[in-house]
Amino acid sequence: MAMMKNITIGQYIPGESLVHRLDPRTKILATFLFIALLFLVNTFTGYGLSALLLFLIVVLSRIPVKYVLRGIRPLMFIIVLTLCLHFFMTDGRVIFKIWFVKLTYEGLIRGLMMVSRLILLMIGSSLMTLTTSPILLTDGIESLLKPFKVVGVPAHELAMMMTIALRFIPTLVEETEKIMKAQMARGADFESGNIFQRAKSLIPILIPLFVSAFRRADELAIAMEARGYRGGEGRTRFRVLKFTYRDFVALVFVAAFVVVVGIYF
Amino acid sequence: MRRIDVNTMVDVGLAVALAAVLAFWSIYSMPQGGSVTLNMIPLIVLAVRRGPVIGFLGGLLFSPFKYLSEPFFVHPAQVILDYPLANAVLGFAGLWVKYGRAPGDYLRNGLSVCFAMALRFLSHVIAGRIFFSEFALEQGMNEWWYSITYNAYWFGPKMVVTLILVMFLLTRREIVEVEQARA
Repeated sequence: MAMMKNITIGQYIPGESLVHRLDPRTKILATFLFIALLFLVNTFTGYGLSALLLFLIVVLSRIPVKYVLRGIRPLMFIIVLTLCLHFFMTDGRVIFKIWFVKLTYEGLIRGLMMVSRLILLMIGSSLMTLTTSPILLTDGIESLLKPFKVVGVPAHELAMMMTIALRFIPTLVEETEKIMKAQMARGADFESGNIFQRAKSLIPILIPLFVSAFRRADELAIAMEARGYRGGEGRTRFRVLKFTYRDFVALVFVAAFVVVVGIYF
Repeated sequence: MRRIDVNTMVDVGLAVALAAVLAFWSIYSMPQGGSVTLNMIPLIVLAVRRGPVIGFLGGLLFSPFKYLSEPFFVHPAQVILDYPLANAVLGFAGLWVKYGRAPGDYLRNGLSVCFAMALRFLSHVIAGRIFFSEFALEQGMNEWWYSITYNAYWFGPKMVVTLILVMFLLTRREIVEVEQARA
């Protein structure tokens, strides 16, 4: 039961900072630019400057550094593995050698560079989700996908399905907990036994959960049709995305930064 | 592309939500780290209910949630293979699966679910190979072999558990088949 408790979709931290108030489209595009930059640069100066840009954004967004660094945690194992493999497996000028383990100058450099890229990638991509709520992110993606409608991308439908999913996650969490409690009251045991016994004990949860989810879907479809929902054409919105001069300045700044740093470093 | 009707849209939405909820619920933690989650089940069931194309769509829409629950970004191609593609190929389960309780039905359903999961495994293996060749290994090490072992370790148990549970769910008519005749 305890494992269902802290479900947060995304790591969004609400705020009123400059970065939070930017249009989601700006943030999505800027993130893509930043990722491209990390694959263009290959000097320490380049990584240093990219890190500086990220640091500037973190300061502007007023997100505690603790949260930003938390994004690296899932990569810890990979970081250590990458470092070890590069340090000890690269041929080149030997710095020191113990038995068959040798640390080379080239290995040291390459290893540190790869790890800097990894860390910057993780932080860069998590900054967007830290400062943008999932609903706004969906709106932003819908708007960015609109030009692709010509080639048949159902932008509005995709965004609508995403919004439905976001809306029903808390409901389904509640539903799951309710069903679990109901089955536990009947004496079900979910927390002992080996992996297969546990999987089998989940069937009395999964079947009602799926049946009720799809029943909810049917009800929702009827409700939507009853209110005259019929897709994207001519629909107005409650929240309208606005691309302001702030977004323009931010995007131009990031783009210029990426071009300059990408070319020279 | 033909328009997606409202019933299908809400089905996709609910299946994705269900997958997201299950993705955050670890039913079993493996001794050396890594955990087993059931998030593939709703996507497979969706593919069975609405056909492979909608199944692909569900997988695509679920991938951002998957990324948020365990972000892992080392290379753009790796991200595409590990998240959107890995989840989308589960839609292949919808090609042949049908409701049924005869031994033949079990066999057919089991095989097609296995096929979809094998594709997903392949996607993860290629992604792993990109990681190993981009970031880690240098000379004379077999990246494919590393990637297969690593992925088999964490994906194997999940695959088996998912297969068992999906086989049970597929014997329930109300889960597999879409309610007809609401004019």
